Amino acid sequence: MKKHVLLIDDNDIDNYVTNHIISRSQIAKKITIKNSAIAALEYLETIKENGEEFPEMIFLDIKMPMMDGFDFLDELIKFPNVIDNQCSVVMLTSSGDQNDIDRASRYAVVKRFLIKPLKKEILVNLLTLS
Amino acid sequence: MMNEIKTHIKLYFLVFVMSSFIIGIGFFGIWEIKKTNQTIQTLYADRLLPMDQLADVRFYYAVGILSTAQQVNEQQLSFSEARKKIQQAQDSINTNWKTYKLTSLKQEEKQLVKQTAMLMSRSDKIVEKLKLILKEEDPHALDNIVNNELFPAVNPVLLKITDLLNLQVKVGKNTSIDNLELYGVSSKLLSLLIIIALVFGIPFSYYLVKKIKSIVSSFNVSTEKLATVELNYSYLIKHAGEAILILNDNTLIIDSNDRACQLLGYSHEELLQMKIIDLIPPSELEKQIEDIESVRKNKGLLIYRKLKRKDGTELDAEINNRLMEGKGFFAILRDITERKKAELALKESEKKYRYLFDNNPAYIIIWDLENLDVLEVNNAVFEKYGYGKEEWMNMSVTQIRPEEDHQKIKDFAKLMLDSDEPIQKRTWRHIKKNGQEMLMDISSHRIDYNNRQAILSLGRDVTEQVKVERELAEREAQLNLFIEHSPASLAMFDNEMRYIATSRRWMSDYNLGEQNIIGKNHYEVFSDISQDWKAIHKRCLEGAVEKKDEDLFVRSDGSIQWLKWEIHPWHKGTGEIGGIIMFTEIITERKLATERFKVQFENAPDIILYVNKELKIETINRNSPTMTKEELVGMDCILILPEESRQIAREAINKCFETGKPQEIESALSHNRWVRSRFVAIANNGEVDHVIVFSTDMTEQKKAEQKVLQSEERHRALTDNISDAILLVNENLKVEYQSLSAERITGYSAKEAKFKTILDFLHPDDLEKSKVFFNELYVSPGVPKQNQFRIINKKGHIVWIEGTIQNLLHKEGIHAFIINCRDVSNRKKLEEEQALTASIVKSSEDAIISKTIDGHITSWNKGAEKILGYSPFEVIGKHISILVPLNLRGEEKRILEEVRKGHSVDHYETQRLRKDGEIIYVSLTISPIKDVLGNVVGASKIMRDITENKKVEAELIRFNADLKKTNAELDRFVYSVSHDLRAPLKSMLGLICITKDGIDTENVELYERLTMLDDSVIKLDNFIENILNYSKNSRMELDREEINFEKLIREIKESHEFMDITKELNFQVEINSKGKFVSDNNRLNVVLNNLVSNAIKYRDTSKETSFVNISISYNNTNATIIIEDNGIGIANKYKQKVFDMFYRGTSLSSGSGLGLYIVKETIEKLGGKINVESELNKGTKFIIEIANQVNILN
Repeated sequence: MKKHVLLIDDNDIDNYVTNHIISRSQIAKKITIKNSAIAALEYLETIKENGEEFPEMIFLDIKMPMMDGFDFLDELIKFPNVIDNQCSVVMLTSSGDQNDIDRASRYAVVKRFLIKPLKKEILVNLLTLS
Repeated sequence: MMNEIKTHIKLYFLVFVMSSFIIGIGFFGIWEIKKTNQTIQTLYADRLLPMDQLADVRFYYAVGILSTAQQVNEQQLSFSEARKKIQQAQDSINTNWKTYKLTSLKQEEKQLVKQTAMLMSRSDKIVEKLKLILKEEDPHALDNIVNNELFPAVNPVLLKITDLLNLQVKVGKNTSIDNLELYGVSSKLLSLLIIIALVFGIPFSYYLVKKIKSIVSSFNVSTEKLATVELNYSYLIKHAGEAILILNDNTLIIDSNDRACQLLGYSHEELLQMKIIDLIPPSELEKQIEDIESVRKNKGLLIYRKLKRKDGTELDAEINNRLMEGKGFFAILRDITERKKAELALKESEKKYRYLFDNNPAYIIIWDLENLDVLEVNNAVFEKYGYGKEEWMNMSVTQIRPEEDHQKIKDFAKLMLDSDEPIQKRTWRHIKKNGQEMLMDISSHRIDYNNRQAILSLGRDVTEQVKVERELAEREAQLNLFIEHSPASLAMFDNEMRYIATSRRWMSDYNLGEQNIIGKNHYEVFSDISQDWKAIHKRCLEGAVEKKDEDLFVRSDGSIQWLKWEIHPWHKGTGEIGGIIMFTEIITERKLATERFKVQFENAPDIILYVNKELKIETINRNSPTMTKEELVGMDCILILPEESRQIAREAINKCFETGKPQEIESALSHNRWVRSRFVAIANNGEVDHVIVFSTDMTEQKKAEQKVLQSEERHRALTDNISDAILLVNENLKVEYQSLSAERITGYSAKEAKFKTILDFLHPDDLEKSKVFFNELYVSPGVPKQNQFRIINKKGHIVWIEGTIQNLLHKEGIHAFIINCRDVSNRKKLEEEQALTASIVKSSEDAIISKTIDGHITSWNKGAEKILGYSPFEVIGKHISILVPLNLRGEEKRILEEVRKGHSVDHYETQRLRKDGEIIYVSLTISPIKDVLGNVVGASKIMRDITENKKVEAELIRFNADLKKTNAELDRFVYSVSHDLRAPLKSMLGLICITKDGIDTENVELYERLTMLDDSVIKLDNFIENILNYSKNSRMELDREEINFEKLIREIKESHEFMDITKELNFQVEINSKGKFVSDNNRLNVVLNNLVSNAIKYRDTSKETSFVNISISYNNTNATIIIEDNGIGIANKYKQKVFDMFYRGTSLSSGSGLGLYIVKETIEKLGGKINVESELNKGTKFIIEIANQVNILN
């Protein structure tokens, strides 16, 4: 059971679906949804002092306006919580482009690369991620 | 005169016209006046007279009758008087009336007259009555008639007559009016005519007047002139310088001038009384008369006459006698006595001249400068040339010359015409009539000949002379040639010590080079000639012969020269001394050599004896322990040896003399010394007359003979193997001696060689060359010459020989050619290779440049010139960096560094600078040039201009970049499009999924519909993915990376996890690996993914267990992947079609039909192939082979 899961996706429908699946699966106590990477970062800034509050898992879409998933990752890995391995990122994207997969795999914080839509069966596996 | 005539006519014309005009006008006027006159006449006659008549009638009626009647009535008159008056009156009335009626009456008048007549007749009746009354003297009837009848009867008549009078006045008035009109018209016409006349007349007359005026004035002028002329004329005559006489028709002198008086001695008055005849001496009288007649006939004549002066003396006169028509003669007298004398003298001289001209031994021709015609020739010419007098007169100077000279003589004529110099001397060729050619030395003088420019040419036949001169010159040239080519140093001087001729040797010996010193003074050419020499020269110029075999000279620069010289005087044809001939031979070298030899001789470690046939020592280089050199000379060489050695020595030396072969003995010398003596025969003219004895002290050696022998062996081996061979050949080129090395070179041993001439060794192609060479040697004894020849070794191969040969045939004791030669075949081969290389270099299109180790250019081929623009001249010696652009200078340093280390630089691409500043791309290959020891002494650079290549390359790169860019754009496009297409689909799937989750399972319908929705979305998504894959596959390049098949399969498995049915499927993977497999991971992913997908999709649900087996095995060359399932299989007829685009092989397919198509395309891109084996309802097996790109990776 994760305490806090953060969803970052500019597509409201996708957020809705993912949210539904996650809450149905009951793997998290708290689910936060952000529509943009920038908003997410701002949010994380506010809670970065609080280790409890900081999300343990982030579902990250790649294709987002202004700041995309990778840019977000670049910023994310500066957070001390991330450096301390308190956080895992799962890429959740609509296209399995090999370049994106490769690129994502270069970030240690990215544990999985999933294609939408999220399936509840897979969620179970994710729990095993640190 | 024409003008005058014209004027005449004009004048006449004018006068005529004017007169006519005036006359015309006059007539016209008269006529008009006549008319007027007529009118007036008419007026008078027809008007005035009738008026008078009518007036009379009226009067008489009024007065004559009426008044009278009245009067009578008043008894103023008597009846008889009254009757008389009335009768008078009646008579008058009748007369006048009759007269009046006779005048011409106008119409109106006539009418009135008629009326009047009627009234008159009535009144007449009354008057008659009256008359009767009167007669009756009835006062009562009278009173009655007068008061009652007379007046009413007469009054109308009076009135009518008044009317007639008025009418007359009227008519008259009309007539006058008419006349006035006419007058007006006439006067106008007249005026017009007058005006016309004036208009024409005035200018014309003005003009004429002018003309006449001018004529008149000119006439006046002429008259004046005439007067002036006459004045001048008389003045002229009076003061003329010539004597002038004017004669009248009878030859009487009518005028003379002062000069005439002077000339003839008579006074003016005396002359005036004389006739011309009086001046002529009797002897000339007849002729004079004749001449006068001539003058008359010919209007003038120049007469030459003697004249008699007053004092009786005679003078010769030239009389210019002119006839003055009708007036007489005009004679100008000139005293020509002096002139006559001069003429005579001239004639005399002319005669002399003629004589001179004709009889001159020189050939004189006078010819016209302008037309080149011959004008005169003298007798000598006649005789010489063969043409006759007639022919000469019609000849042109060109005819006596050959064709080629025609233009020359024309040019010459022009020159003479224009030039200031009157005399020219030239040599010309003339041809006689018989065609024989002569050479004439002609001096041409420009003269005036009868007022034409002409040439007087004096010719001398120098044909013979020239021939002789020519021969002399030839001979002289030959002599000079002889001197010039003499091998000896010869110089010929004249009496002033000026050079006449020198031999080449002289020029080279004294380092005079190519100067021309002929004509220069000897002391000028050599500034440092001593007084002694000058004295010697002087003596020889006086006839002495001097010579010296060895003379030491110290030159001005301190150097020493040894000369052998000889000076002889030479004599001219006349016998006197013309100068001296010097022969010198610089023997410095020889002398020095001799000196050196002497030094060597004396300092040689060996004892060297020069022994003659009598075994007497002629020269020895050393003192013996007991005797000096000088004492030894003359002694018997054997006798100086100790007893024990004498025999052997004598034998050896005699043998040497006999055989000419060198001998060698070891013998003892005094004082326990051992010597090895070598005897070498020196032959002169084939006979041995001397022997040189070399004695080496081998006392020490004797002790260490073994060692010496060994070392000698080594030494000999060394000497023998020294490349140089020495041969002695005699004058017939027969080998007399050859050193051992010679055998190595020629292959022939000394024995074999002895029977051969040197020519036998030679390569046939070099025979000519060598013969020439030996001839040269023959002519230059003692001079070593070098040359190269090919010889044929005994074994048959060709050997290149370089030899120095010296002709010492003349040398006492040698009498042979000494040949010193070495094998230069290798060198020659090297040279050939070099030549080949050079020609390759030369013709190469690439620049081939060689430079020294520090970068200075030493060679520059044609290719370099073409590529870089510099000519060899501009660039050799300069540093290589002039070719290097500034920004690359460091590069050159690095290159040189590499080369210095001995490394080559291959195909190094860089830029270089052309002469014109253009920068070109080049590919350099630089190799070090090493010397024989292996030290790097320079670098050789081959430079290829790759500017074009580079350009093409750059273009290609650009194209490539463009393509890549396009591709990348396309990629991005495709990616964007597909992503944007797929994202909503993913959202849809998600929504469907959760919706499905959330609904009641009882709501089967809804569930089914959602499932179908799901399927549709998935299908669409797959289709887009396929298109994306297809696009990527067809355009993208192959990646190359090491494939981890396990990972690959695992990922594929994972990606299919979402397919719920995977749990029911048995997934087997088998991997056999050998080494590394390199290929495109993404593409493999696509392939395997598709095939696994298919396997899953088309599993046979009717079977209990479905399996998918993947087996992969790979090695260095390729990999084989087999994917096998037990699915529904493919019917045979569809097997090949499954790979077609959009083909779906089963109705169960939910896909687009692209999957296998993409698989096939991808595999083909990977350079592999795919096969399918299948049986319907049994299963399907896909077999894939892909090449291993591992080698290419490396």
